[in-house]
Amino acid sequence: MKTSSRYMQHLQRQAGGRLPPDFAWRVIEDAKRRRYAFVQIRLMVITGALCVVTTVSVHWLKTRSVEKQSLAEWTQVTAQIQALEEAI
Amino acid sequence: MTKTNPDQENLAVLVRRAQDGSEAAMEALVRRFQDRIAGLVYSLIGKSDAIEDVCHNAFLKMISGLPRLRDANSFEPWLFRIARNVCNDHFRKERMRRLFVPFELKHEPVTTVEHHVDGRLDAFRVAVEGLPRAQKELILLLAENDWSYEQLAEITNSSLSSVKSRLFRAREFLRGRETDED
Repeated sequence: MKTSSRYMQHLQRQAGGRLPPDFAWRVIEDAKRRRYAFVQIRLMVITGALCVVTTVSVHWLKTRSVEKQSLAEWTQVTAQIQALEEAI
Repeated sequence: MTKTNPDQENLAVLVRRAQDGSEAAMEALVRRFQDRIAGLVYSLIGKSDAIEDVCHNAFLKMISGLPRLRDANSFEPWLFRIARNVCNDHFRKERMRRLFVPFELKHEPVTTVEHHVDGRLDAFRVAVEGLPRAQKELILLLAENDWSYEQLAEITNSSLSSVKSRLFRAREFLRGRETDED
């Protein structure tokens, strides 16, 4: 066997010995935890986005309704003024 | 129906099962490759105290990237590419950390793998340490497995011609140091 391969096998033994016996299990558990955290973060972001969209929509609808009402009142006032001017 | 032991399963089948979300298959994959990845990580970063963290990150990336792996047969070079990239990330973080940590003598030995009892292994280690990083990782990868040039290019994210020229130069250098690498 070549020295380079023996060297690598030696390193694999040394390095593999540094890993805890339950290394694979720990990795899988951590991956699950991260996946759960990722799902939660995604839910938070979606909820936040929905809140912003709702707030903007409600504000826009309310503003539009107020504007419509004001315009109607203004048209009425203008008509009254015009009628008054004609009467004078 | 007999239940197969995931540790003995065919690699491509195991990879496909892991891609389908089987935790047992994922765990078996980690177990199957943990020593080889740890050996590569150790040879590249040279510090035994960081092996567990770097391997942990490499396997986490493997798990999160599994659904995007198209060909189950190319799993092995793909995994080694991940491990190599995680080692590079580790180097980058270390460099950044060193900018903000005042220098002390205990920080001095950066990439030295422990000395061996065998003189030839030690001579090989010293010779490999003298190589530029891009050449060193190719020699170490080839020592680890009989990768083809194409696979080496894929793992190291470089072109076929640069792999060939780097390997040629590295082998010339090692021959000059009288190691039996060929």
